[in-house]
Amino acid sequence: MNPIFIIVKQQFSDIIREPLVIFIILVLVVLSIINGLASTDLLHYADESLSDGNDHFLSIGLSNTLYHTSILLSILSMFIGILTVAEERISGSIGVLLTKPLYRRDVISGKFAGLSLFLFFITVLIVVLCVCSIMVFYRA
Amino acid sequence: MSVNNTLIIAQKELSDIVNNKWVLIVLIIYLFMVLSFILDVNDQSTKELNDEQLFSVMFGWSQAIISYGTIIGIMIGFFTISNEKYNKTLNTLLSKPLYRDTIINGKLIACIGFLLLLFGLTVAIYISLMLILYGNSAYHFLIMVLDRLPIIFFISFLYVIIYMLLSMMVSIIVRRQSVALLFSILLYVLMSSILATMSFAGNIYHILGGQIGSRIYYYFINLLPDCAYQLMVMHGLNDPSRNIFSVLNICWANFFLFPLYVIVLIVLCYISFLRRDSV
Repeated sequence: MNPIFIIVKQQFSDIIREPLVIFIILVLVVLSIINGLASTDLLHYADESLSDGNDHFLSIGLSNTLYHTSILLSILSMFIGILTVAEERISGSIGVLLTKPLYRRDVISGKFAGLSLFLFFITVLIVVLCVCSIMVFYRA
Repeated sequence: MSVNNTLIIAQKELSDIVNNKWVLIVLIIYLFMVLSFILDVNDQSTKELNDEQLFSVMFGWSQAIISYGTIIGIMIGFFTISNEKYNKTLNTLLSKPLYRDTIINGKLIACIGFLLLLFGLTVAIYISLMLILYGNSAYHFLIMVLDRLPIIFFISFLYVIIYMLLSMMVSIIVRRQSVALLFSILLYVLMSSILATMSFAGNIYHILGGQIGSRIYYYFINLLPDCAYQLMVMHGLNDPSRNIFSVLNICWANFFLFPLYVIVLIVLCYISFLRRDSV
């Protein structure tokens, strides 16, 4: 197996087990579900009282929560970057990794690919959850 | 003897904070931000300001302390515990014939003393620069500014202390250094930018609806330090036409929230520090 893929897999499984990352994901999931539940009342009210020509599903329902989830996702991306390098330096595991017959570019590419893949999955999950929860509760 | 030991630890902590290069970097950034804040205020007010606007500008330092000082508070709270955990000096200190409460008292005194000095300096710089820029227009209400300065300083200071204690508590509880710092920052972001917004509190109001929803919404909003401060400002904390004591009379619950949080967090810091088997 290509060493980069091994590092990608390792990074992905390491970061998904971080308690801080789990906490942020839980906050994001809670925010998405709460937004979906609230849109039952909010979007019906907006449809009845606002005649601005906008699609309220997008202008209120999604933008309401996606702004704050994007803040949390950017914080998450910063945190996983710090945790990956800082924690490995503190625990000394990066030293072990660098002594293996691996190019440094493979290590850094593996880390980058693993973290990017993780962020991609989380972003897709949160956006899908936001949209689905609004669709389920608002029935639009 | 115990008081003497506490003061020795406080002195050592204070010198550790001052000599820490990361704290110094954050301090330089903080002073730069405060100066840019003052210049920004000066740029925005090129036209003649009325008394009410000028009075409000005179208390711009409280916003600077709350916005940028909180980051310093979080850094200091984190460094006093985590740095010693990382260097293993805390274990050495705990093996000495000292009570654990003497150690935590010393740390708290050092942190609070450092922040008090720093924010005192910030207020002195800010007010001096404002007097240089607007001295002629502001001299007739200077006594009124000085009259409410201690109360606004006290509120802003307690606000920062809340986050400092929160960061200290997280650093005591969480073993991993980097996770402790990141978790402290995350708590700050959640409390100041997420919980009080439409995404959370506003949505809870819409879910519950009616009177119950609005009651829970207002209880929740009032419990957050940021909203408590904003509500006091809305009721005229920086308004020269309002008496400061009448403002505090209206917002007494918001005002007492700050010392209450500080006391609760100090107790939690004590409990978590005293009850940990090893740090």
